[in-house]
Amino acid sequence: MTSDGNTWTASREPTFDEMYPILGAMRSEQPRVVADFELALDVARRFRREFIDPNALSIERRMMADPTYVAEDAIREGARHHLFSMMIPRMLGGMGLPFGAMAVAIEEMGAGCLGISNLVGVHGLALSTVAATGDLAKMEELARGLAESERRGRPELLSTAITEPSAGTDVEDAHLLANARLGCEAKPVRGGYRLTGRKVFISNGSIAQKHVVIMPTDRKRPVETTFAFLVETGTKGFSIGRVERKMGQKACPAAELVFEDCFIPEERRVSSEPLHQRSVALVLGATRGAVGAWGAAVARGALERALRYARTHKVGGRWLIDQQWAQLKLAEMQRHVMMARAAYLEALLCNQLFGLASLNGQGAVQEISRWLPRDVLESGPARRVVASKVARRGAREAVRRLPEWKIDVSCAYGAAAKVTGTDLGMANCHLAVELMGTDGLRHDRGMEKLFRDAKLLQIYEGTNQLNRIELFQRGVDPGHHDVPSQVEPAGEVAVAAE
Amino acid sequence: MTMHPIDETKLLEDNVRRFAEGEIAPRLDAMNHYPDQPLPAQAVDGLRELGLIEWALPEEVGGDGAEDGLLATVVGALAETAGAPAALLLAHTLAQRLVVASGSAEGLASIGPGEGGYAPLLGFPLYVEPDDVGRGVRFEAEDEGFRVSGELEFVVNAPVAQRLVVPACDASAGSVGLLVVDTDARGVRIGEPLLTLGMRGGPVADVSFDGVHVARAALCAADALPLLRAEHARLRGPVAALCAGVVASSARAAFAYAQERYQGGRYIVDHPEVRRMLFELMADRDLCRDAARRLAESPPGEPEATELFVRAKEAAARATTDGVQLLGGYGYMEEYGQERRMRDAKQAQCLLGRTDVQRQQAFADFLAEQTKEAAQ
Repeated sequence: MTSDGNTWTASREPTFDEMYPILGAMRSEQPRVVADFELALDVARRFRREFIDPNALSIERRMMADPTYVAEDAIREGARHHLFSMMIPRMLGGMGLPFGAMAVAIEEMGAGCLGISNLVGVHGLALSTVAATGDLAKMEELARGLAESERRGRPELLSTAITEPSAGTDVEDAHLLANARLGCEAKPVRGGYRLTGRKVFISNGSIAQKHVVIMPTDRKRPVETTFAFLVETGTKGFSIGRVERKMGQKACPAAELVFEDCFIPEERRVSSEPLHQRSVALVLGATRGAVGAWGAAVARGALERALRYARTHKVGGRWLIDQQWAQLKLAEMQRHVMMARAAYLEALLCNQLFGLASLNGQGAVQEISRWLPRDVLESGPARRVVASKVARRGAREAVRRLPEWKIDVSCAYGAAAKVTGTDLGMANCHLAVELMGTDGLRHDRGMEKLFRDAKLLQIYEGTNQLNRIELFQRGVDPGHHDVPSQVEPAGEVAVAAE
Repeated sequence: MTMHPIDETKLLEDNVRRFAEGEIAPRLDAMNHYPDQPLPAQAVDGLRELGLIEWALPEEVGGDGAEDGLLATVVGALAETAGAPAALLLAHTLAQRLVVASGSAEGLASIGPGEGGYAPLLGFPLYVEPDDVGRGVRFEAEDEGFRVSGELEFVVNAPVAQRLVVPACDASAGSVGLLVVDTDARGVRIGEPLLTLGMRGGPVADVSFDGVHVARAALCAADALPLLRAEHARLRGPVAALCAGVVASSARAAFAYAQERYQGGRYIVDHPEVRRMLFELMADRDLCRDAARRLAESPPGEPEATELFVRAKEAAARATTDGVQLLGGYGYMEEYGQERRMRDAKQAQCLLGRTDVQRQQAFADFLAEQTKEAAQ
């Protein structure tokens, strides 16, 4: 055991090659790409060791006493480690690491605390949503604003508002959206739109400065008319409602956003095309792989805690680590970590080939921006190129031209990684609590918090049930979207399940 | 007029449900935030008013000698509202039964109704296997009594109990004895109430004993291991009933939600996958109920009794995880109650010790029995 007690092997943290042998094997062929992933792990590991592990439990206790408490220290420390700008392209002011590298960082941070990892990582959903529309101007505004504010010490946080009180699963899929019971609408008026309705369970909703709000302009025709709008905190007619009391992941607040005739000018609408044509699929295909990384994080965090316990406690007079039933349980947990990690890495590499990440200048543009000095990338001429009509048209065209089969592949891998990682994460939490006895039940020993944190992963970014349907429709029988009703409706059922 | 036994059970069950729904349910929010918020007095006072604190005592000291079946009924009814008061009652009842079973007259006197007419609330480490429960504390002869030292972790009811039933290792004999210790005795330090995964409002704390002097009469049993094993086994039915209560509550909430929630063009109860999940949830509820009934009324031999017990505990943990899933995002939010049921069920899985250890012990006992029979 090392003195900090946070390592899961006998005397050291696992090396990059031990965790990602696929990437280690690639090193001789793609040294710069692999170096990016190693950098992400290194940065996240330092953040975990220096901030997350010493503070996660106390931050959660503060938030249990006061759900409106904001973990400012976590935000500023995350900024000091450049975690908010990690995946933002260099030409937009960020570190420019590949999308998959962010997932490596997510796993490392999440093994310490899912809430803090979410607090620092959820802006990726907002950036991905805007990127998927091809609206480079809005992408530049959000990404550069975040990167520059991070450099000043306090990043401008982002939220993405999709879920409504009566539409959770429905708003994640264009085919379900057609029958959704929506309450929100962005009614076109002179010069812009009037937003009304409520969004719920919005991660970072109560602390973000900018919000990417998804709403239809005609809620009777949501598939054809859903757009994204950029709304800033403090806009007239926009307020924060209740801050939810969640079971876990408390460091990342989930809030209700309330829109009461909130006027948003035309220029704050993202893109000229409705969102659901392909953009949502592109976004979720990317972000679901990242949620799979959180699943792997939880699986690993549970293993770490269980192993530490087994090494230091006796049961029935014998060290637990020497007992076969415990060894096999720990081995099963390790297997789960390996499977979850392989699944999300595969999904994110797949995304770089076929999905949203393949549109983010991973090729020649990425190489060029890697070598150009930052002051050249951020100069007036460079910014004008990025914001030019040619560049913006090119970005929109890239989204439009992406073949449907590529979207299917990237979505299938994303859904599979999400289900695999989060189910295995939850499974490991169950196993760890069972192994640890009363230590697994008390907050001050860390495991019960991970158990509570883990459950949300099976629910958000589309429930695991929806993701299985997605996997079928995209990966097993692509194009099979129209599922006829398979059962007689239950009708008015009044009998309680006694 | 003599009431038929079945009527008494129904009467008690109805009273307990009324208490749980009327007194516990409105205070669940405060209990859920214990120890950050104070424990509502009704958590203990209400059980006392129902007579459940004296209930397991023999009739000669004012109790009813509560049978396992009745205890299971009461615990199950409580758990349908919240697991915490059920766990509080289980810890207290187990502690009482251990002292009663020891046969110690002084022990019985120390846990019976005192001058005020009330029996003291007892604390006990309810989540530890019987073979391990005495490892943290030692006692040795001193003057006219014993000196007790060490630490007992995760003692249920310790923050609110008047007495603790303490399993401790006899320093000279090496056996595990059972002592009754006042919580306000000099040298007893009750730690801060612990924030636990579930059963919040069934208060728990670590207790340290810094050279606590107790009278000789405080020792109820010098070799308590057979007692501990026997009374743990007796409590399995009520623990399974607690699991059944929590799962029943989760199933009810999930079923109601599935009929109201509209997604994907239909009420979600009309999705085949949701129906499958509800079916499994109800099947697990029935598994727990069946296990509770069989274990409480006519427990089979080993390993079947342990099979029923561990399967009930594991089923409850599994079922309530899906109970949250069925409510989607709402299932994860405190106000809907499903997340509390999931936490309570997972904590219940640890009651009386780890299921893995229970499996190993049950099979070892079964093999020993087989060997003995073969030798005869």
